[in-house]
Amino acid sequence: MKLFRDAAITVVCLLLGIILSVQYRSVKINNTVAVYEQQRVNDLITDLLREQENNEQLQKRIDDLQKDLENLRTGTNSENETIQELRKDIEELEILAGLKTVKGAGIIVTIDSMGLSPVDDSHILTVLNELKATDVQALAVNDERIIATTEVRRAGSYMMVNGRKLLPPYIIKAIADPEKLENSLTIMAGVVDTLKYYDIKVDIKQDENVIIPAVRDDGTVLRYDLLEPVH
Amino acid sequence: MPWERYCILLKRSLQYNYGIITYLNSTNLICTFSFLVSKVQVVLVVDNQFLKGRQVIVRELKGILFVTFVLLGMVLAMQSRTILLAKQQNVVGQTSVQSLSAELEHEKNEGLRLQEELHKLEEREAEIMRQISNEGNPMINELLNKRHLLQTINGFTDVEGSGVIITLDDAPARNEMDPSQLIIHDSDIINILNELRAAGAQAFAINDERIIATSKQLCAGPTILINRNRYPVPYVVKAIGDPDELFNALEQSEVVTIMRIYDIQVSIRKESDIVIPRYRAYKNTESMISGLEVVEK
Repeated sequence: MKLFRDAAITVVCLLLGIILSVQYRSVKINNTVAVYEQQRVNDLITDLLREQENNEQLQKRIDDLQKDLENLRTGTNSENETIQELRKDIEELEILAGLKTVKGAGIIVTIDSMGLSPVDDSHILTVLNELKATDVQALAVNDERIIATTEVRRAGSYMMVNGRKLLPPYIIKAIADPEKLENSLTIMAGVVDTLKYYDIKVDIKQDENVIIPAVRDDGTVLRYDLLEPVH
Repeated sequence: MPWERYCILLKRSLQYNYGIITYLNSTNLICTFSFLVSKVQVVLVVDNQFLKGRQVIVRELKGILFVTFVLLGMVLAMQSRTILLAKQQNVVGQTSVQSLSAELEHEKNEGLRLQEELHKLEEREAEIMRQISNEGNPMINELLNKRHLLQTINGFTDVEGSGVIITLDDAPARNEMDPSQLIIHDSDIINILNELRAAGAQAFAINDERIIATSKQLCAGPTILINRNRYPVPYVVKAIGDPDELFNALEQSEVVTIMRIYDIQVSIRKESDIVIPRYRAYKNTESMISGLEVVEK
């Protein structure tokens, strides 16, 4: 009888233990789901706001273009005006493509190794990516303009950028809101902190007159001969 | 589509972060509890022999039962609370997630429609200008061609050519490994693009998001932000250039080799007719260069 009672209690307790552990697990999972749900809602809200802003911008452009078209059709714009407009478009596109030397407020970032390990291409790429995420308008590494097809590759103790050898220290110039650019790099546990961990020194200086040279226009950097228009 | 995406994200987050930890915790708990129970019983047996009194056994038993039921009560309370909480959250969370997703989807479609409309207007404008040019001023035609070339350089036109298509997907979940090593990071994408650039690629896109000079690739949880849009796996990278050179460069690259060691699924194939869509510009060119002042040399 006593044995039976002990056994019964043992079984009950064991079951209780199992229930407790299952419970614990499900609570934990539930919490994760809740946290995830909250994050998801936040993400959705930011996405939605961005999308709405995008659409407003697009609508504005459409309205502008429609006005231009109307002027063209009715002949309000003279040929000279049309030419002026095209020239303006071309100039803007040339600046965007990096074909012009430009000047503006921004930051100058100097990256150099503090110890034995040299600066790696991934370090420079991380810095560039972070700056791009801050809506940078022009970028250069050691005065080599960064365009869509620019590579950054380490080869021994130097860096190949736009097919040209660059030696350390690497000086990255960026034009956009200097405050924002600097914050994007110095944020806690951000790029500067990460690079410090790898023994890389990052020095950031804000400058009102950052000058970024145009891309080399000798046909080796800007190439588009393999691109055909789609009809 | 958003629901599907949500499911994938949820699955990933659960798998990666909590699979191993929860498993360990539950076994630990069972062990500890069983161990405690056996200890109490040993005390009980000793007492029995020593005192030979029925009263004591009953009191001890009552004590154990009391503790057991207190625990049971706690479990029940915890259980009911989580169920209630979960229900509440589900109601709030799900409706807002659903309505927000629907709204987002609507805005995105609206955006695509506006892009299309804008593109048509631009074509129409070029057409009218060409007409004017043909009627009298050949200068306009020349400028139009120059503008089109510059648009191509900037990634504002759809382009076609031969090259490679790379498909990337996360490695299947395995318990014994750090989950962060099994997923694709923004740095992997950056490195792959860098390899393609070094091998002479002239145009590229990730999930049909055209990469231009200022395009960024940011990790935002299990998704990656490309240009201004968020994408989950799989990632499809298209690049136009010399197919053999691009293929070989990637196959021999450090980034692809390492990804394959971790079982991340990387497939690279050469293609002859790759279409890469234009950059979906929301702002006008003017605002993309607003901080730049031209320096004449």
